[in-house]
Amino acid sequence: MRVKVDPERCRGHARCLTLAPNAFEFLDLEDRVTVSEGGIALEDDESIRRAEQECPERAITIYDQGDVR
Amino acid sequence: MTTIDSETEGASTDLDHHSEYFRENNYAIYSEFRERCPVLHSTAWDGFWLFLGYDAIVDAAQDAELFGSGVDKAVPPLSPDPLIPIDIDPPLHGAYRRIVLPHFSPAAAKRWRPGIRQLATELVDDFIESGRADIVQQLTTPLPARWILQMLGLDDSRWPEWVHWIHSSIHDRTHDPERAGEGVTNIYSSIMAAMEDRRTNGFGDDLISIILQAEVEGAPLTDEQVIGYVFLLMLGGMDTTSGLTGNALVRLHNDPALRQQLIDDPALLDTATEEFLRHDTPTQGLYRIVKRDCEFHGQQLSAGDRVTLMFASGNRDPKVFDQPEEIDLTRSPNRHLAFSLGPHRCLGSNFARVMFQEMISEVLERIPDFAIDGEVVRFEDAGDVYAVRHLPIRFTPGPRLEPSSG
Repeated sequence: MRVKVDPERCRGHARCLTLAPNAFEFLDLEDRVTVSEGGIALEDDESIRRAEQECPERAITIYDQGDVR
Repeated sequence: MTTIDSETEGASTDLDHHSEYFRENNYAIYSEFRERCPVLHSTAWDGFWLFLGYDAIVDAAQDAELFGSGVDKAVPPLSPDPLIPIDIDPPLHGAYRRIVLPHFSPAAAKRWRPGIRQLATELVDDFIESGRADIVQQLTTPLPARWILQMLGLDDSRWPEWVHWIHSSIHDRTHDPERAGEGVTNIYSSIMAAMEDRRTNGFGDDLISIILQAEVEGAPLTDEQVIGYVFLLMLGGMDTTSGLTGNALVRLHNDPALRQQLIDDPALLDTATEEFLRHDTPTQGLYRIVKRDCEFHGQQLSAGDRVTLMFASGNRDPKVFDQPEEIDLTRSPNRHLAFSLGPHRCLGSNFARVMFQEMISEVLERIPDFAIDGEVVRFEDAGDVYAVRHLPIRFTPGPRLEPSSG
């Protein structure tokens, strides 16, 4: 699973950080999250999918294995 | 009485969101108008727009270039000076907001969680032996107020005075402007005194010291800007979290099955928090000012038009939320608008969640059989913040957990 957070859309609601804490990292001074590449494997796919679905700004995109690009 | 005239000049009403009629019927009004007029004009207060549909609110909140946040946006005006950073537009907005960001981050809220729970325990201790309380006055109001006063480095034992001024400045401003003005004057002079104290006796690690020492574009903030910043932090801290918690406690009283569900499965508290934020949104709406003539969701808007983004209405939009009037503690997804969206996303949202969760947990663990015992008194004006002022309850008395301080 590959995950992307759009830095322009993310406004630091931090719902993803609650739902899949290992997969995301909060940048305090930027007021937004970034993907923690090493942490994605520590979360189950369902948690990361929920983080995507709950993001109020729709800033998270998931690229499934096998997706092109 | 509110009427709608959709035949002559588009969708227009005389709806006044500060009226008693609105307070008593807010959700019925939203569902009556939302579908027909997601962008609704009102002739009240010299004319303004109510954005009621979820999509219209999202599009406006995320577009700070078209929908500005200058101080003239409020219906009617709130503060003579800009509140910072909520009344500032990007890009400068970000520079002001950055000053305090690390202190409101998810990590900061996590660090404060045990202290916030401790405070909840102490506040419940103060009334648990009696079997009675006004839980809004004795728990949900003092807890957030004392937290923000501690963050600001102010004497948190003086919370009743600050809360009185803050409530007056918000809730009295349309029906008793003189009283609201007195509240604002007291807030200004007391913040000014705290600023003088730090300038004379040295800075600490509190938020007032941090704001006083900050620079934006190479210059420190003016006194008016510092006051506007501290004022906003108090407004956010003292009014809304209590509103959310009080509204939720009323729901838990009205629906015993809901209460039992949360008692039986405390792990639901995370999604339950989001659901109460959606269903019982304290900040009903916030204002914007239109920056240029445009067509927006079927209506013609003009530069200078004032708008209120009715988050509480968007949060019950059936196009987005299945059975929106129902409370579903497991609802997912739940992309509610209670904290707004875009650059002005509620700065205190991480703390609001923590404080709400610790207060609700404390209540459900220690006085799980609480029942409303008397009149639920709401603040007169629900146009900005829909909140309970008095919530008298009775319950089976229990023991204190901390030794009495005397």
